[in-house]
Amino acid sequence: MKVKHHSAEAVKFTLTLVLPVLLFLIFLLFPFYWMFITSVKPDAEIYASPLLYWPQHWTWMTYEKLFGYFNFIKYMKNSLTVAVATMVVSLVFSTLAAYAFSRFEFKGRKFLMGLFLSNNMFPTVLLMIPLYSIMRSMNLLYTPTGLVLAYTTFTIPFSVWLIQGFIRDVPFSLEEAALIDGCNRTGAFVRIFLPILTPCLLAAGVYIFMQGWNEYTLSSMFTNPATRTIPVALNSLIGQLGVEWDMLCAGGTITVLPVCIMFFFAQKKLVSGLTAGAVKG
Amino acid sequence: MKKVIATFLAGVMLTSSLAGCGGNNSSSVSSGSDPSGKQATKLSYWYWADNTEQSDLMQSIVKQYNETNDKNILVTAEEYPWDSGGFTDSIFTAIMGGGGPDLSTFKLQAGKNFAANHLLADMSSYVEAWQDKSQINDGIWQMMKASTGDEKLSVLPWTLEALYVYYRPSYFQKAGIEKAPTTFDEFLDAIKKTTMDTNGDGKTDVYGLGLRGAGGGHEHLGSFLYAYGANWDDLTTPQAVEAYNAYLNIFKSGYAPDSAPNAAYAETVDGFKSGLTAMIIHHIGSSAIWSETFGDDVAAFPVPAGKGGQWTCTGDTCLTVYEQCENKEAAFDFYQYMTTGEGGTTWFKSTGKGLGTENVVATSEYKDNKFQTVAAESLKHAGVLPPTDTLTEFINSTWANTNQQALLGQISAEDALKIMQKSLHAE
Repeated sequence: MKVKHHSAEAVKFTLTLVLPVLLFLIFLLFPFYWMFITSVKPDAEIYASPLLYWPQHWTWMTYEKLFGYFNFIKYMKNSLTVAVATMVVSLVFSTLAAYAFSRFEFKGRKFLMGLFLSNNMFPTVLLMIPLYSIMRSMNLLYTPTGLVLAYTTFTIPFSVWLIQGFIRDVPFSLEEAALIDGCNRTGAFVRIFLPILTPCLLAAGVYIFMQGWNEYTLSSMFTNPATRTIPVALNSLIGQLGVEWDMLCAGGTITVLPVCIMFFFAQKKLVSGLTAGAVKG
Repeated sequence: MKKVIATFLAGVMLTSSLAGCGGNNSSSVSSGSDPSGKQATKLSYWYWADNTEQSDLMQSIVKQYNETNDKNILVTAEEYPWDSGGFTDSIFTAIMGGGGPDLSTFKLQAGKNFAANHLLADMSSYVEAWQDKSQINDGIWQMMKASTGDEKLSVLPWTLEALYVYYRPSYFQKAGIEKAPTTFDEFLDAIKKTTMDTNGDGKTDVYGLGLRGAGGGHEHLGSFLYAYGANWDDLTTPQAVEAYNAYLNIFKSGYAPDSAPNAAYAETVDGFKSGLTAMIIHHIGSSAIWSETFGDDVAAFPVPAGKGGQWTCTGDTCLTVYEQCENKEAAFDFYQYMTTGEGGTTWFKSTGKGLGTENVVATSEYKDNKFQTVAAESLKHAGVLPPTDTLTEFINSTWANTNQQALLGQISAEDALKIMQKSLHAE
């Protein structure tokens, strides 16, 4: 009787949870699977009819071409430089700004916070000509710095909102205790505050990194062949007369790897960081 | 504490050091010195490439020009993604932002917008004085002039690719068709006959035409319109409706793949390449793909004339010199090199694209390519859509949305044409 009960539970568990999750995973992962197998198929199999869901002849030639002839490493370096620099700059300024917005009462605080949001209300294309003009006059056009500055215009406002939501949940008494124990404000911020803030900074950092890593529109305008990032380089494989599917998929496969690795190591803290400050008592 | 401050300082140093990396704002003509100390005229040239081979080809052509031209002109060629036509938007943004190139590859359809903003240089005087001008036929020059709407010659032809029909002779043979169609009715009949169930399972596995219902498909509709006596100026005439119904019936009768309403270039190419379709309408640019894929089992014929006339759309890649270019004479010298000069010859030999100028016709690549004759024949009846203010919007948005609805039977041919007329002519 007990066994029967257990097996019924198992069936119920499988039908209501395991199976839907499996189906959802297949739905979610199939595009990545398809991207990968397209990158290792010979040309004839990419266009084969009926479709081949498993390559009959594996080839790594596309990856050789990608890293040799196409010089994909150069684009990866450019993307990594821009994404990391954007992350560092944005986190430093966002953390300080969010701390100030949360802990200090000053005139125009709410207005400034609102102003931060208003930046995200404009479509990126509207900002293109003014930004291009500014970059040009500052001699930052076609430099990674120009791109980093452009990215921070939308990563900093978002991060400030994200981090200040978290900070407001941290009791002020923690800093007060540190101050009573002899810390100055900077010391209290660095020794007490920053460690508590780690999950939130991690979440914001991953978000900023992904923005810098994947962004196309601004990068297509503010880079030249020497400073081009991955999304723009991959887009150059889509011509008027066709798409180099093998190269595009190989590039896509390589591009998602750093993001996947980041998520793998950061997922636990990422979730707590993103949800922190979401619920107010 | 020290660690944190050190990390912060490292971050700041990293970003500030990046300011020195790669910055090279090559936007306008300037003069500098070459190694011999002589003043060189520098030109910034932007282009898109359709594949990685074309990237290298363009760079090598420009390099050769820099090494061989006797006017001490130094061209810096920078590649930007085609981005489904976003290439011209990038140039527009750059010029409006105070940068951008001196000359670039260009599409006719963008001419009016650029001309309206006074961004293009009028090159009429240079063309008039050009000894090779007559190698390019008058119809093409007129097409260039008409593209800007101000009758100035601001867009210069570089390669024109008139559309024609590629077909698989083995499929024609299987369908009992003995020769390539010479009239529009024969063309429609061939589409019907080559729709076949080749393995006897009761399902169609070869479709007559790779109908391009989405992006770019409006070019194909043009041939139908003119064959039935209509044209782009008025899409609401009975002839236009008859032509559009003939077009829609290809899909509704099952002579085109189910994917036709969403098919753009890539989908139609995939269909033809995989043997799913017997015919595809495209230009010389894809001839190498077909020859490589099918060997002798591919041939071509011009889109035939109907009772109302004959017309085919031509794809184009033009060159244009921008008003901000300070040395237009140097820019025109580069243009000459790219058309009737060595640059044009090299480009043709590798891509099969050109204007049929003497340097191109003399090459063995031209003589040996069976599709070149069909392409040259098609160019005689080729044209482009009228350069209305709303042409880009019609092409990028209205066409696909409206045509998809008509193909799926959600709106009638008359209603669809009314929407297209309103969009194309801003009525």
